[in-house]
Amino acid sequence: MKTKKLNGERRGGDGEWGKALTERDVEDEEGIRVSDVWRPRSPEVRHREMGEGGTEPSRLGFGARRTNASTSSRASESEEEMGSRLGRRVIHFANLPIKLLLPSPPFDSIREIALKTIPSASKVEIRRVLESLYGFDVADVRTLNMEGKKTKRGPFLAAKPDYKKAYVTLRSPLSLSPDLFPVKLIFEERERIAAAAKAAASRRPAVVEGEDGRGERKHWLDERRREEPSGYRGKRAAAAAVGVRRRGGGGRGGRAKKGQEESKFPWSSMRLSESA
Amino acid sequence: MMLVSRVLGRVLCAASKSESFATSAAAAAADSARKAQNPLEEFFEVDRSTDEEKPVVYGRGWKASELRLKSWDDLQKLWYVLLKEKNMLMTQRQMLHAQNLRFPHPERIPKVRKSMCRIKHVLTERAIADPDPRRSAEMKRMINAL
Repeated sequence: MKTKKLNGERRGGDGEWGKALTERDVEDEEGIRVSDVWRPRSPEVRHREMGEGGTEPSRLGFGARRTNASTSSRASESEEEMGSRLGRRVIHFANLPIKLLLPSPPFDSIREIALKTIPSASKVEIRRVLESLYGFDVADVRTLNMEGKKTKRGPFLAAKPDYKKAYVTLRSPLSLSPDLFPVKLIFEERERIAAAAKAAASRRPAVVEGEDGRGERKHWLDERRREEPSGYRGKRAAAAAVGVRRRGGGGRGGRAKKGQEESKFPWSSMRLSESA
Repeated sequence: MMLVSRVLGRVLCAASKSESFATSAAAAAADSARKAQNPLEEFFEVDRSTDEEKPVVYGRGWKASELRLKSWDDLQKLWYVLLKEKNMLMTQRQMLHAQNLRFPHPERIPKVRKSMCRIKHVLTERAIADPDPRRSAEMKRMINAL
């Protein structure tokens, strides 16, 4: 087997792009054999923040796809360069937009988080990004696809983009301080809305006047309910009677009720009372 | 754009590449120390608890000429910094719009997005200019893999 030719002449010399790129340049005339290589490093590690690596630029998390020159073996370097040939895909520039929805009010122990992403994000990808980029310890990810809201303005349909909701269960509860920027504003707004709704609800009975000038709450079925027994009897009588007698069989109560309802809804040709 | 303005300040102050390496390493080490607390806070903006008292100033996006001075690793780190910034801004916008509040300074998101585009552009330029076709193909694959 030919020895691998590490580009020693370029290491450290090509200052234009820094050491990182040059040391990655590995040329193997024979080509790489996948069976030679097994690297336990997962894609998460490759784009983990550099705080976990050493202080040398070459050992930094992002660049740690290839280890230091002294410790790199030929197999490992070759595998890193031809990472696309292996089963494990290495993503160097992950681009997953994640919008966190505000967690529910008791902020001390948050066990579940809700996120919104693009519909093409998979559970596995979401889990990997959260674990490696943000450092959540994820127990479970559940997803569902949602359609964006659509409104019609005349002939035109305006649609908001479809999204994917993800509910992420954490292994250990987290907390969120309400001092962070938008949180306080949102709570103030919610309280304002709740207060306005409550005020409106409490104000409503006093403001509304009955149609007869009475101040109580009226319901259009009130008379109907009161007249119910007589109306029922009237209907029974009408059902028993034939044709002409039906109108008269309604009884005084039914006719009076019908008259009242007609005055309330003069435009309606519907028969509102049972006795009609 | 606190992070980016800070990084920008570092870039503009530190002329040489080696200096930027050291400063970025130091800043990232400091970042990791802070990050140990709460990953949820990375979706919220730092140092912006009191609003409307003083106008908050945001920096501009990165220019391609500035990005060409950086190494591959630096650019990759910057990519993830920008990605987190973009996620934070989008989270903030979504939360505010859900309550019918106004999202201030919405022009920050395109700045971040275009800086990320410029990073990939610069890296692709380097990949194209590479004399060795195998290496350039590998670089392009690395840049564009999703």
